[in-house]
Amino acid sequence: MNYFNLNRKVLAVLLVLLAGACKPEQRAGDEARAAYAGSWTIVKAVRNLDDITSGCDFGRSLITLNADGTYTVDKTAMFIVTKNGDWAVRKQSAGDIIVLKPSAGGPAPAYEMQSDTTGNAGNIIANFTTGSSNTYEYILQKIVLKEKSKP
Amino acid sequence: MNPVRKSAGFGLLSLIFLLAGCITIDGVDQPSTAQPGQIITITVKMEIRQTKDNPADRIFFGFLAPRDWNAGANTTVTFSSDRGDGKMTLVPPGSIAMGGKNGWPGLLNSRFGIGVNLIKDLEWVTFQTDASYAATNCGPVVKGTIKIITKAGMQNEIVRLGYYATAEDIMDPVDNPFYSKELSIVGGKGPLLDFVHPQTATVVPLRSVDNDYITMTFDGNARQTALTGSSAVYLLASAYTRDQQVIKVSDENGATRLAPLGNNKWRIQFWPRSFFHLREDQSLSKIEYYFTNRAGDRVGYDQSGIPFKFEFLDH
Repeated sequence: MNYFNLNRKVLAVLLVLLAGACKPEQRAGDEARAAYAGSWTIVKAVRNLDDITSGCDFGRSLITLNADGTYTVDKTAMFIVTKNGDWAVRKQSAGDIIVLKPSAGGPAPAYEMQSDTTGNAGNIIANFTTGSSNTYEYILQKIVLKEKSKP
Repeated sequence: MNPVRKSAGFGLLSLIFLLAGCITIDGVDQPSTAQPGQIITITVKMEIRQTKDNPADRIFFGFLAPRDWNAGANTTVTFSSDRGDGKMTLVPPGSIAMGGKNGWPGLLNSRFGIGVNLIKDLEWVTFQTDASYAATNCGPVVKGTIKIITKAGMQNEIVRLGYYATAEDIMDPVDNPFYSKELSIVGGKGPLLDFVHPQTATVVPLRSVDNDYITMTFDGNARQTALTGSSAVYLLASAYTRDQQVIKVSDENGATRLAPLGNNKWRIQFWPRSFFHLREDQSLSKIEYYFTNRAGDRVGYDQSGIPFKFEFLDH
């Protein structure tokens, strides 16, 4: 076998593998997710247009959007999803849509949250209803971990 | 519709609303009692006074009713006067009232809330004329009537309904709703939900599943009880699952302690599925509950020891 031809074939395979490992859409997806990756807590909860925030204990994280595209939810708080799963960002002109896709328990619908475009940039708004006719709106804020001060 | 008749109707409406401006509600004619689910007719008498030039706006009308009436789906509204008639339809979801960030229901809710009622389980449902109308300053007062045909809820209730009208897509700070006298629904299901008079215990939303946040309040002033004047009040509750289990919650980490609202009023708010530690395959049919203190005094529905009861919708 021609040594030169073998090297060209190996190089071609490597290029294909590299291209597959880092498709443009995946890079775009990673970049879009980077803005939202982290743990989110409820800073405002509205039920049927009535602010119920002060009556609830929303101190801890509600949902953690992991950088690898998976998410985990706090099972002790009522939310649009109750099972862990995958998440993605869909770009649109009127703000980003954060899509939650529960992965456990067979086929399940995807749920959507929206980036806040009303003046609180960086927040996420989740509108949903439960099994009743009651409507909810959560304003979520990313939990910022404070760096330990150096001695 | 015949185009000629449609045009004539629009002309009549235009004539009326050429004079549109400030709307004053003069009175409401509504029944004082209703059967559960009964179709009732309410007329709202009003005067339209033009207070300024107005290029073109719709007439907006707000109706405050208990949420369990589902008034948005069960109500039709028409407008009439000696100069013509018109129809009103629901303000489309998402439309924003001028001068605010909210749509009309949100605007009315944030400014007037539940009005003269005491339990936060009512909603403003808003309607608008199909067409917009111009107004010019200083003109004769036009008398009109808004006719509401709606369906009463199925629950035993006492409520004061609310009415609000404006001839502009903006809320005038001096405008206020008109609240009716009491309307009682009798012969319905469940315990009486009295929106008007103070209640010892209330739970909202009235129509909830165990996957809602529910808010329980205890009013120590509603009647003299062993807890009136207590420094701490707790919830003593038994939850009944649809698979025939009874779950009681202990006061771990103060979970059952009510938050003070001042003036002998207390509140606790929770997500029942978590509060009662339900398994994923369980659901609740009802809660029976008392309010209690550390000394063991407890307050229920009446003096005989019957607990308060709250029933969940099935889902």
